[in-house]
Amino acid sequence: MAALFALACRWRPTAAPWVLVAGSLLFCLAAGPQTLAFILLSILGNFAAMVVIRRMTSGSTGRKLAVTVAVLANLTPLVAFKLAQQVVPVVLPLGLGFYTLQQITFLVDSQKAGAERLGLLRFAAWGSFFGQLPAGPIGAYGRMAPQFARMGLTPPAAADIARGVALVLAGVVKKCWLADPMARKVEAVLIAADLGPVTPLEAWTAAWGFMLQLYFDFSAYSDIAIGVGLCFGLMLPINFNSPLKAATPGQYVMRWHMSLMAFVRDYVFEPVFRVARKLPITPTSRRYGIAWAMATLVAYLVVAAWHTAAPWPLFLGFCVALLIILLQFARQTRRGVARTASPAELVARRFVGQVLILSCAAVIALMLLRVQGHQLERLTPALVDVDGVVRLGADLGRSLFAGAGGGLPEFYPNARLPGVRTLAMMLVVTTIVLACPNTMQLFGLVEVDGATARLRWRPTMLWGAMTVVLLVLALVGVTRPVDQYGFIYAQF
Amino acid sequence: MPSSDPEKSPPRLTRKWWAGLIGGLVMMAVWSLFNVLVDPTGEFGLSGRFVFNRVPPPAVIAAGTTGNNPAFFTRAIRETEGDVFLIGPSRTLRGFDTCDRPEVLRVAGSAWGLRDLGRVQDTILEGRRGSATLLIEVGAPTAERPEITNPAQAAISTALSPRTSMFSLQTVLHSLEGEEKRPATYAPCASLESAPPNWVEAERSVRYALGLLDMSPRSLAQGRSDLLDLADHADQVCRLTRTQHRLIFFTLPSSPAPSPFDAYDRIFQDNAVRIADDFARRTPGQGACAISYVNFADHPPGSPSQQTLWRDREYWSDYVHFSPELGAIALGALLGPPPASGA
Repeated sequence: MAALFALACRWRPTAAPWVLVAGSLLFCLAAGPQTLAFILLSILGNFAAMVVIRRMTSGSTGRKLAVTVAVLANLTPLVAFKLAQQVVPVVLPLGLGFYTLQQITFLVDSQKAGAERLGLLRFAAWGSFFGQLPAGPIGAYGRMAPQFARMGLTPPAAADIARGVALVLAGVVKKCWLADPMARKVEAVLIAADLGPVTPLEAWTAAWGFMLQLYFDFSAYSDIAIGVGLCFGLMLPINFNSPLKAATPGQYVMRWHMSLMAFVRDYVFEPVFRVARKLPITPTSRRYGIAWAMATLVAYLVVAAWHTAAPWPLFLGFCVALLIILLQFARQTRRGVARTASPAELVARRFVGQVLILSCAAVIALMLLRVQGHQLERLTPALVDVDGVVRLGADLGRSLFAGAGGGLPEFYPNARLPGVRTLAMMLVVTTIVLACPNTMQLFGLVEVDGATARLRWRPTMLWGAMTVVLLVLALVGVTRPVDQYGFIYAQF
Repeated sequence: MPSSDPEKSPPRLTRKWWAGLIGGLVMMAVWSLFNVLVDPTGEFGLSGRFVFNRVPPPAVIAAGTTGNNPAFFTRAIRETEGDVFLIGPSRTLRGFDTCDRPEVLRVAGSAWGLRDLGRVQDTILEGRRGSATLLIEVGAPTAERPEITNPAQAAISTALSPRTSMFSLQTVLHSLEGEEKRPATYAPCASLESAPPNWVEAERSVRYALGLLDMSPRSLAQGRSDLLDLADHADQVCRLTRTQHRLIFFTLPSSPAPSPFDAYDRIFQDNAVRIADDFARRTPGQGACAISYVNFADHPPGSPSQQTLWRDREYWSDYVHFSPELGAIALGALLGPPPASGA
């Protein structure tokens, strides 16, 4: 399809958006008639709504009301499906959670002064772009519309296509060789938790393994989407920038699923903050603090609700928001206090902080998105079972230093995973996450310097050969006889 | 930045990039061709066809026999002098010692389901000119999980895998340097040994495995239907090739007594009875294979004294796998006693 698109750009530029829309609609049809019906309804409905809204006087109450009604109409199917999922197993139409938010950005952004006005065809190309449809990144209208307005005027550059193809392959490699092996480990532990109690090591393997799976799975999908976008001359927003290297909860949040967080910041946090800062509270600093806390709370609840409407994850989202608010207030109150910590102490604090953030994030992700039934009851005590950790440490110490016969203790007695191999794999994957440059840096989509800048994608012989290496790894990865897992976020 | 960004124009693709890409693709093609021609895993049907892949080393054979890929046995099936094939899952692999039965080739793999058994069955029926006897052990067949890879995907994976290349290199070196003209055997004849059972671990293991199985009535019904399809397909092949093969499907007891899996045992036995009923109702067509089903699930094979052994935990290595002693009894019941030593 990229080839058809490039040909259209070269010989008949007006046909380029047609090619993209036709390809996207075929993609939706392949995903199921329900998906196609929903996307068509969403595109046509929102475009029609905007035609009506634009005829109303700018800033009038009627116009504001119409926008609110249109936003609610977009949210209704998403909320209905999320609630229905709590009662019966329902599969959402592909990408509903993502294009609903995208369409909201259209309703809000297209009213702003100087906003790009796309015709129905180019609007449909933006709203249905198959590269990002299943799981984002969420391309806000304000940012993407100018690119779609120019679409077809010049063919995508060959270097961009080469870079896009390599990025797609890198995404597939990430998915097959990092995310899916982690998924298999997590699944083994969760099956064991279904059958009986598990050890602390098993529970933490599930938690951290799921964190790694989630990161690689979703960032792999984002790489593929951005790579596909490059092949069509589009620059989609980046979605991940090594969130697991974050040193503060704020950094972590803003580097994970960045397009969702940007949406929440621009379309939830800021409007709530603007309203809340008008509350009759004195002094001003307190009013702004309370407004910030309210906006943060609402934003996190929206993020949690977007993931699932189940009460327990919503409660977790509420707790995370409270924690972040409390941490922020603690930082504010300590701002004036002189710091006397030594550099070593600061490094240690940073390390402990990072471990705490990652542990909390891992546990929350596991609870929020993965566990069900008895698993929660069995994993929760195991995660805090200090005695179990001490026992394993003592067994390990005995076998290593006391020369006790029988070799190493069994690390995964219930999940039946090969102990040393599993631990080695977790270590390698963790090292990749925490110490290596990410794909966005390697493919020049975020600014970098130093050694990473030298490794960055360029049209050199090394990267030509590297493309073939990625192709081989991707081919072996998708064809090898092991269970393949779908993209997690394509279910939202 | 992409072409859509007017601020920066993207770099042009250089000749060096093209050279790297084309060079890499050529290397990939050569590498795959090498793997395909040597075919150490039997995936492409070229194993043993050339001087350079005539004799795989024992390590490659061992990896193949324990690798669970039915394709690996293609060459063994083609070259065996025997006419009896013992096919089944890990119970067959660990419970039947075929060293004193040269006429029997054991083709078995861990966690093989009906799809794998069917693939082996087809390889034998479609490839052999003379009639053969297929003994196929089935437990409680359930609805098959979606196919992990289809044959085309498996071929791509094998052709590109570095592991295949390692085996290919070993095979070429061993074939060119060695004195042997063909591999000694594909079915290792070292006596099967079972470690002393650890019943606590065995129970945990079975509970875990059962957690992965769908033993619902619907799934079992689907498994029975698939089994009948397997038999019908064998009939079709027999009609087409005009060779009458004998197929004996059989089910052996699921576990010893006492066992903590009584409920599973009952389902297993009930299901075996239903399979027997299904086979009794089957109407084979003209020129079809001789197909039968033997239910040993609740009436173990052997003399009355031997039948009691099937319930004795001493003769099991865990709650699923019986010992070669019991396997010999079952094989005797199916084929008669083994030929006298040295015959």
